[in-house]
Amino acid sequence: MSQVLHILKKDIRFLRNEIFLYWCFLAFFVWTRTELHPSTIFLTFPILGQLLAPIAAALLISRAIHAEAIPGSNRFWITRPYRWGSLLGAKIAFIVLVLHIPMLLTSLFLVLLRGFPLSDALWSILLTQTMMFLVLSIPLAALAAMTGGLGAYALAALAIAATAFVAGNFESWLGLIPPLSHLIPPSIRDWFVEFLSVVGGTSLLLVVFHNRRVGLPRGIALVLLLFGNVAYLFFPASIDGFASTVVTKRLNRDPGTAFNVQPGIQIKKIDDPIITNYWLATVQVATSIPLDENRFLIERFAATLTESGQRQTIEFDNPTAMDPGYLQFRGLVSKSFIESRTDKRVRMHAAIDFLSSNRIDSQIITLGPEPSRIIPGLQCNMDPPSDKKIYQESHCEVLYGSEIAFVNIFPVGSTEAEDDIRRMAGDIRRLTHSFRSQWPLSWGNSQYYFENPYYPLPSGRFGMDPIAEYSRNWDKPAPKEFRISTARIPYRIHREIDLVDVPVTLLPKSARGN
Amino acid sequence: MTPVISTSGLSKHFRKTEALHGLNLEVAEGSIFGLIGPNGAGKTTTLKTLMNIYRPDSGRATVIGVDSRRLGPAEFARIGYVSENQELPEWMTVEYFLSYLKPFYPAWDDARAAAMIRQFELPLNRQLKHLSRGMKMKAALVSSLSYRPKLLVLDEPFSGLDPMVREDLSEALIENADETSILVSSHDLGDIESFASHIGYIENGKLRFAEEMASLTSRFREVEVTVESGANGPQNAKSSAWPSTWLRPDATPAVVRFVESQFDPERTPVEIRRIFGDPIQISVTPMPLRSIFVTLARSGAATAA
Repeated sequence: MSQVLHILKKDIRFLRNEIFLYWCFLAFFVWTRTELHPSTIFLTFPILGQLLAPIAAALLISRAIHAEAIPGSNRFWITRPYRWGSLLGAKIAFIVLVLHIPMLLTSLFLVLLRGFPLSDALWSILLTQTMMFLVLSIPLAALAAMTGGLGAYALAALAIAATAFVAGNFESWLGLIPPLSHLIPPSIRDWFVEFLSVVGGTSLLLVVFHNRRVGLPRGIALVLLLFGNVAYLFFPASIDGFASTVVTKRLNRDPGTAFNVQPGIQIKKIDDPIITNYWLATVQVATSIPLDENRFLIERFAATLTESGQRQTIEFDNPTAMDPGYLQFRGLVSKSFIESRTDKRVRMHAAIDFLSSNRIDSQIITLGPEPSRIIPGLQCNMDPPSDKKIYQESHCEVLYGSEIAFVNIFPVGSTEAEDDIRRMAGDIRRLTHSFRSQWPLSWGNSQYYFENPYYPLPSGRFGMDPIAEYSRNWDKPAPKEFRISTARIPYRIHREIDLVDVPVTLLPKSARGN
Repeated sequence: MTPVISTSGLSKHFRKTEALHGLNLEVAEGSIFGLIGPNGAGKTTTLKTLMNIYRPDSGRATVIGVDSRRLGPAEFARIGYVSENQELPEWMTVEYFLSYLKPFYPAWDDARAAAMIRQFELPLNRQLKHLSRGMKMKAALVSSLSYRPKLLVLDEPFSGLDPMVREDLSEALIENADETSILVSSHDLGDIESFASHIGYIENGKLRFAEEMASLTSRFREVEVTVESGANGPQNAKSSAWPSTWLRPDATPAVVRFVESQFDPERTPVEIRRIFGDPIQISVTPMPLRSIFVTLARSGAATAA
């Protein structure tokens, strides 16, 4: 233990300037997240405030590990009586004490400043820092241990980031699977890759420090990296589906048979002089699960129609709950494709991503300037107009790391058409999706702004750019009373359905596609 | 006496290059063993393999009674290692460098450290990066002798240093290494000659010979034989009949010069007379270590063993 402290003190002394700079970046981040800063640029580009500290942290990890670099035969320390456990312990202690605890305190300060109770904040922030330590810091430390200097470390980190980026986007680039929103909760394969990263990073770190050899660990790391990327790319959807099925069994439903695409596509022309190249396609989906309380939510529905070797992909949106047991999707389909195929039969490959959740909570609340605690980790308030805002807006904050899957927020007693209200209810605004999809750039609390619900933005955006909001011409006060529905612990379920001989029916102009 | 270092069939490859080839070496406890050899002979590889910096491909090395591959903190607390290319923590001041290392060594002797600092006139408050090469080497030496190591391994410690610094280092070694066995590799043969008790010559990854310094310097002699030029002149003598211990022979019609690697005051003149008849003069000159090394390096030392 004394050797751990001795080496730790040396590292802190060695890196005192860099540590000070890192802490300054943390303070800068706090400044950008409070009302003190004069510019909204950090709201527009939150990455400016968020990036500096994580980059500095990554460099500090490298500097600390490389103070006793393992590769190389001329290091002064390798013939000194260092105990490997003490050396590794000192480096881990450095990462925790110098990097994570200040980051934790910063996050804690921010969320307390935002009015979250300590009981809400502590667990989620601890969990966040633990995950960041395991999933980020440990693999970075392992990478530093296998490299001899900052240059090699940075290059390797960039190369890994590039391969991960390619693997993460490969599918959507090739259009192999319909691109999924980044807002969905992480899938099992994300967990798998993170697990691989933690286990691989920890094992490599232990082996490198224990054996003081990097040749074999470098080879293993390369294999792990390739394996991780390949596993991510080719992770079988069935495992994702199976795992989701297993975890949703407590809902006493079988998600695999919950949704059935009805064999029929209805087409109608659009009465809009601007949209001339598309017709509106409508598909009905039968559900055997009541869609009350957002227990199951359609995340996405896409279909590929094929006929005579030609292919057309339709992105459906705006799911509308029909009478019990039916959802209806609408999407634009190319006129040139569909015009010659009405009253014909096509082949349809449909892919549905839907979310299940539990711990539904719904309440009516009056929002005021002070944040109201909705559920642990979520609070909302009504921002008053200011010199920059000529309107009021509801404003929710979600604690980083909170188990909140969805938040629905819509006004009570709205005078708007019932149809709009119903549409908004179905148009779920997902706020947070667990810390995993947020880090490393969104440590601390996450803020989401809701637009004035009387003037919803198209497709129900949230987390909007406040600058864009300011530019809007709001002229009505927002209501103060809202129904806020929340759900927690989401699981994504992916289902693909192949249908042949699907009739394509052209509806007369007078018929409503609903 | 128990060897403090012992290797047996030690081999090490770097890709296609064979750095060590079945090296057998013994360093007796209490000795100062100078390992000499031409560039690329395998000196540094030998030392780094002994220090568990490199892992041998085959063979075995024992250092202070422990397999070199198992050298750990307990052993390194009794071993000092100083290398010309060692990357010291240059941000540290001399004072902090020594105070940082002190807790690692239970046997650290403050008095000895202070004495050596005075002897070397080391500036305690100066960062290592601002020290000259010689001063850095002195600081490294202080850090490696202050805990009275059982074994001190020095890899080219005098390389690139001016004569005064070399002298300082040599003196410090002699004065402070009374309880320490030393293995030192160097091209600075003159410096080694001044304090080494044993010499080993390594070439192409093999130890060609190793023996006590006194024995080595006594068996190498430059010999000059003057004979009457004629039928029995050196140029006409069959060189194949010359003993293999005669290195780098150089014959003119009247004079032959060579280095006798196994000089014996009784046997060598007999050999000369057997080959050249009755020479006019036989001149025998003792050789400095540097000349012995050059002779061995240029003639192929296999014949010298």
